[in-house]
Amino acid sequence: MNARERMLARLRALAGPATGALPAPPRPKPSGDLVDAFLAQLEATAATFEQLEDMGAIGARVLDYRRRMGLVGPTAVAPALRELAWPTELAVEFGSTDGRAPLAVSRALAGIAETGSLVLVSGPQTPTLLNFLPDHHLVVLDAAQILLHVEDGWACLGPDMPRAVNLITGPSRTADVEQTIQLGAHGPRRLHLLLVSG
Amino acid sequence: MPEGVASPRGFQERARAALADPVLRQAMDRARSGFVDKRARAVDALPEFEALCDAARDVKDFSLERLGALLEQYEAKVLAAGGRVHWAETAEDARQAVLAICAGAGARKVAKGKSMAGEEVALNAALEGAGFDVIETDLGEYIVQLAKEPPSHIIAPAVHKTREQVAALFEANHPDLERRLTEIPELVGEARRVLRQQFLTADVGITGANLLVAATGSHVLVTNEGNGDLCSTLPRVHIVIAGIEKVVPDLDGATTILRVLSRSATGQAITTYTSLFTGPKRDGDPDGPEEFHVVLLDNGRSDMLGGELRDMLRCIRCGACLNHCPVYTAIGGHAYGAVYPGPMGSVLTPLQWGLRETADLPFACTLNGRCAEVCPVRIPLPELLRRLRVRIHQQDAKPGRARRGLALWAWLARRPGLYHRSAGVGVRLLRLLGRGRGRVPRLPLAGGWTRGRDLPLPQGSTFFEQYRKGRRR
Repeated sequence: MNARERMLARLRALAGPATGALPAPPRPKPSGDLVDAFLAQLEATAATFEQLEDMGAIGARVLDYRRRMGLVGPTAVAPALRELAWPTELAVEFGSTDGRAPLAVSRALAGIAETGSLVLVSGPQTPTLLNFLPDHHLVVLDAAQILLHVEDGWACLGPDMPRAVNLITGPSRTADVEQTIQLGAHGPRRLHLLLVSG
Repeated sequence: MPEGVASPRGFQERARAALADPVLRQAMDRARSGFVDKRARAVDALPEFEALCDAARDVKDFSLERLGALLEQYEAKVLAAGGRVHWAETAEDARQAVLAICAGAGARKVAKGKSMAGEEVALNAALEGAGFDVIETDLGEYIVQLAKEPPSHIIAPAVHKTREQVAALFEANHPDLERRLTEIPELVGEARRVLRQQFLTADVGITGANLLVAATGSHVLVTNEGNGDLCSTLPRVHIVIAGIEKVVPDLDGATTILRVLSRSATGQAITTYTSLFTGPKRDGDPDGPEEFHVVLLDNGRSDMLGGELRDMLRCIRCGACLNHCPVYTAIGGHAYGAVYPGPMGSVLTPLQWGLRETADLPFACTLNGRCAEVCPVRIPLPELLRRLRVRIHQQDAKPGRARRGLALWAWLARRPGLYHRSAGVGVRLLRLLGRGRGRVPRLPLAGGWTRGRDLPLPQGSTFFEQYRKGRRR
């Protein structure tokens, strides 16, 4: 017998009675309007947001953000957003990033009102490194995709799991020095949501 | 390891030294209330918290009842996603599996995310011994790696360090750093700068897993820094090392546990990054590792499953029992001399090292019960520690003096007349010793006990003397 068979044989011998299914566990109940609850949670995690009427305004808003923050260098953008009009000043590069772009724009699959989280998945159109390497992470989300619970986010995934599903809740942080929270540990220092309501 | 610590033996000496260490005292004081207050606020903000803890316990029990079947299901899904699964019965098996993967990949540099299973099998020493460059990327783990120490807390590895100590470590280890840093933001920025280069040049990334999801073949990784996600995405090979007890049936069960895990650990409703990973990069994916491996670690866990300490397998490594333990918060994690400190460690360490090496640990507990009250999966820690005390006594693993003392007490307790008379004498003696002070600062024959605390003065007579007096009235 190899290690796998020995381990499984031991575990099988100790298996308990296969009792029925688990009862449905309780879930937190956020109060009020779904979008308001989501944005309140998002702000509580030190993320920022702005609301847009339609996708057409995204290029201009990203440019405005870049100027406000005084950023130089290219802007890494998820191929999923390739069809939008991007100002040349942004020096947009579609695809993943090696960390040289100070700013990345990605597209979220869903928002979770319970926690203020954004659900992002890996795929040809949505590189994972955009979520982690740049200092500034901008995320585009349709307001219609704001859901109540984390479980509702999982339900958007479909039968084939992507390699990575990232629930992102605020900018990167650490409390490893004297339990004092400091933003911008290894991931983005700032997380900014572009919420599209149209 | 701190100076020469290689086993949990010598707990009492290390605990005494820790109590007398003013820098440790300062670091623990700065951190302690933070943990407790943050958790309390998160729990107060969620009316369903206690019900969720019951549900999380049920998910763990449900999973433990069918552990083998769930692991097989998980394995099949990982294989289907293009990953590989390695079964490790012992710590040595796990080390060999990881070394073989790294060697097979022609790796030189290994970037590690924080993994307690990795600590448990002493992975870093094995990798370094085989000639690999190993870099811890969690800030706390990086700090203790520079200090050549083990972590002192399961979620805050450098909780015993002050910012001044961290600054000195960076100054000594970062050659291009021009001045001694003083502020926390500077220190975090410096670690980010140095470690970013390491992420980008590592060949292998190694992380732990907070949960394994049988239905999807995914593992869940919970972090705040984002280092775990970088370790899982940048290097061309990703290895996960996880205890077999981490598996749950599905994403809903995982979510119930996540809700109580982050609140209990850091007081967050959810951590900044809660990620699900399934296999290596897919066709067309612009990033992600080409190879994905999972090492499933037993190392004594299946023995626990069949024994009286089975409840311990529910542990989700949140650290709440450490943060609420008066012993842990007084002496810090290194005094325990083991990978897992505090109440949860005092149950796990004896199982992994044997009772004789660790006989002091289950006694490093006042049985105050705070750990069990805050445990999000309802592990009856004081009861488990008590069971270990019984075993230690039965196996004669306690030092002779404690055993002789207990034997004397038992001999007396079986002779009620003599017992009551000696108790009366004892009470009067103690009153004499503590006269005018209301307490006894030093007790003959029990100097060890009174070295760290005073004995309150008895109330004048024994219980039975007072009882008889009361009945006569």
